Amino acid sequence: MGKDGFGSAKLPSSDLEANVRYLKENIFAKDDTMQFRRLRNHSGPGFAFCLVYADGMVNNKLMADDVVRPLIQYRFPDRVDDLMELLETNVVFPNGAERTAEMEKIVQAAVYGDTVLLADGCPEALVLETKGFKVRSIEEPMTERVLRGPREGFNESLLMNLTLLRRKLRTPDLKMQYMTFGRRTRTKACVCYLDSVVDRHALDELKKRLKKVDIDGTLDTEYLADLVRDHPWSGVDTVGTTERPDVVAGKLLEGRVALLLDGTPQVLTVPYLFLESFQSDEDYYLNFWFASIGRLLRILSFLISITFPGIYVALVAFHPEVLPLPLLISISQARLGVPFPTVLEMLFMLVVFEMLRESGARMPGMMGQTLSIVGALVIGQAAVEAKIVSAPIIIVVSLTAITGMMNPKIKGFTILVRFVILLMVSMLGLYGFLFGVIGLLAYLYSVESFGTPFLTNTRADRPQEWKDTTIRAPWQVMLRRPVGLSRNRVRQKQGGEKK
Amino acid sequence: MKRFFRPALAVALAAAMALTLTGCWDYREVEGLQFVAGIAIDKGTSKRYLVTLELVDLTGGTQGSSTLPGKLVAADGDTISDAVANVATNMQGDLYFNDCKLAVFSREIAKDGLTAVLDWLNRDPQPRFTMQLYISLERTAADVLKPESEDSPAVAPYISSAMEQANSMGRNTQVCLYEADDILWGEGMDLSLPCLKREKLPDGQSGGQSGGQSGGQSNSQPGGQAGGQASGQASGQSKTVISGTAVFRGDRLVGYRSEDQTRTDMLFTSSVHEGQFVVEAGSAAKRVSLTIRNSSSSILPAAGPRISISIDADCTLDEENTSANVLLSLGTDGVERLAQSTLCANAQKEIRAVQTELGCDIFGFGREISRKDPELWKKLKPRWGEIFRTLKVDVSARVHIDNSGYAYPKGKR
Repeated sequence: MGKDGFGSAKLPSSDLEANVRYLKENIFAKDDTMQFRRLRNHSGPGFAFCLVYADGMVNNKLMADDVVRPLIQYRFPDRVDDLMELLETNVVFPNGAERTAEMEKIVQAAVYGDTVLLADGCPEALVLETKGFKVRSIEEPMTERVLRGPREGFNESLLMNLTLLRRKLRTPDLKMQYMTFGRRTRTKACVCYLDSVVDRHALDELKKRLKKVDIDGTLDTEYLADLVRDHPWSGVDTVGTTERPDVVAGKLLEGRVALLLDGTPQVLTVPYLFLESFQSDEDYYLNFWFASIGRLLRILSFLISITFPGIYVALVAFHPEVLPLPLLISISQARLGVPFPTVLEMLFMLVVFEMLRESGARMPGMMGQTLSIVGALVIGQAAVEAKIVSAPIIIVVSLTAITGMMNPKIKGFTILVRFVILLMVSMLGLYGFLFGVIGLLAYLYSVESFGTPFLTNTRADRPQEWKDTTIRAPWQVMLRRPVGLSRNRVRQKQGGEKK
Repeated sequence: MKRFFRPALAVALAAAMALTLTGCWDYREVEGLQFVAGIAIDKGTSKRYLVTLELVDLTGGTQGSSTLPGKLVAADGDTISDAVANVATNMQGDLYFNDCKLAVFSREIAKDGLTAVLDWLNRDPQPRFTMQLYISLERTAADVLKPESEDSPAVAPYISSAMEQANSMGRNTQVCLYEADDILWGEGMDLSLPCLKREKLPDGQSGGQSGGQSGGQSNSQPGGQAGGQASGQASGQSKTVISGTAVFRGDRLVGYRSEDQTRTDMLFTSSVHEGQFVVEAGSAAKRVSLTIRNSSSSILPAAGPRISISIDADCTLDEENTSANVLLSLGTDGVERLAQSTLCANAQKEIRAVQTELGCDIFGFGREISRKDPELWKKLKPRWGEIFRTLKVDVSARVHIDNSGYAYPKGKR
């Protein structure tokens, strides 16, 4: 019997002392937080019990009132045929109670806030639901704030998260199936989908891949995301994550599958399409004109963010004849006295910016002011005045940075592509730039996410598909669900749902 | 490993081709470039040519000013290419001709034939076909590229933008390298190039305001401002202005057209925006100025041979430079008729002058014939030089005044 699991091991004996000794000395040895509470009831023939639970994980008041008190005070009949049956149905009060002899279940329950009731003479235990640990309250997620729209966010409790989701989708069509991951962490997860609209292929594929997962711990959904996504070595994410129940509900309604994991507010959704990176839940809560402009801006920003440093270097260092003379002269003047080539300057400043960004994300909050002063003054102004970098580079890097931060969902990919394009440009100029962009497009078109092409709905010749992609059309025209996800495509009118 | 081999090979081959066959290895830093703003070509003393380049001086100029002074560098050589290379050898960084605005030729060079000197400009990849061409009326071509004072801005960009203005105002015709090539290599038209000369700045007067008479330099160009600053320092300062055109037969300079003649020529040879012309209503004291907003002229050949030119101009009545109310007394029709006859008479006169004095077909009548009646052109072509001198030219004009600037007739409410 390994520490990773108990297989089909059972309680060793029907003798209370033997069982308690087994748990105390074999299973929970050197674990001082495990409590073994012995109880005795002298009515009837007289009974001995032992409650096994983890200190601090249980609701103490509930334990005292609904478990300990009835066990001590209950007047047992003189003759008891099935003690466990009697305890479950007549004695203890908690909502959840399950008889089991499996060590796996017993141990899992004891370490996760439930109470295991052992009784003398019984080869089984009664698992009582007495969880009482504290979880974070429901707050608006820091990373996905909206000006307008629901402000609930998931927290670290799987059950709480499922209730948040259930409240958005009050239909028996919403299916929730538990799974467990992590040989040691034994983390619970839940696959959620709407049975009649779900993309069957994606659902089966997800389940198939999840079954193969064999890892000792899953502390966040990213552990699973890495293990189940298509193109695991790719820099581009083919699974989506969100902390917002409204986003998950919206995606389920489009035929996607969600995976919730205990212990993290991050929920995975698959299939994930490239254009989702530019979508915000707020798009659906604002006027569609405004939302569409926002989306187009985000796409434009992404393009600027990946290409701008490359284009600058290509134009300045390879094809200055493309630039108008006044601009060329002012760039040339700014570069007078700068000792490094343009490419090196650009690389240097981009790396400095990434460092600023990373330290901004890592450092304690109260040091933020120092960082901004150092960043703006020292790196920007002083570096230009000291002729270490030229002023246009600062402008290019700033614009790149601003546009890059507009799409946090593909932040990492943006940085990656930006550097690759810059390197290609530094060797081949605009020619290298075109190579880079063609390569990027070819790659993105080759990527799939759970059976759906990553760049679905980006074809220019099908304006019907743009309705909820680069723009957000008003709801009265979005009669159908997006292509490529659900086979059940009717969203509104004409009979509504098709079973 | 085997399945990676083919893609890896493909990538390697693509990269090898990209790196070796495309010639994209011209990484160069912009601060190393010497920006050539203008090129002047003269006859050399020891060698055949003297090439003077006006470079934009990046280190000069006052801090934060948007215009930079130019500096002149010169070298001689037996060919243009040789001379340019000689300039480059004594220089830090590469010469950068892509933004070279203009080329100026001295009269000696022009008299010897332009084709020889245009060849390098056409052949070298850097100079652009949109470069403007000029003839210097001064002793040398380099003279017109000299700055007014030490720290005044580069001359060539200033001339170039003044020319664009003059062109749209109907004062002079901009001729780019490709247009000159078209005329020189084509048939039925003779080349005419705008001329540059130095004009003395009146003492104590800003250079910017002195350009009123000199072909389209009426606006406040950077050159004018800097000239104004410098004019107080020394007397006898001069600046470069555009002045009339030089006329070629084949590729050789044969004569000139004055500023006023050039202006009239433009009315029936090209489309003019904003161009003005003055109509005398009865007497010289009653002048009416019309601004052409849109004009087109069509040249039609006919057997004989004869040419009929029809000018169609939409005008604004810009000014009645008299106390009389011309528009009210003559009516719009009357002013239009006057304008039409003035236009026709002027055009006839100037065409006559070109035919008799120069005998060069700068209006492109031959080209029009060759385009519209190739059969006729075939017959005329061998003797076109003679035929042009005696060619009958009819001019008709239609002037339409659609705006007088007043809601009511002058002086009425």
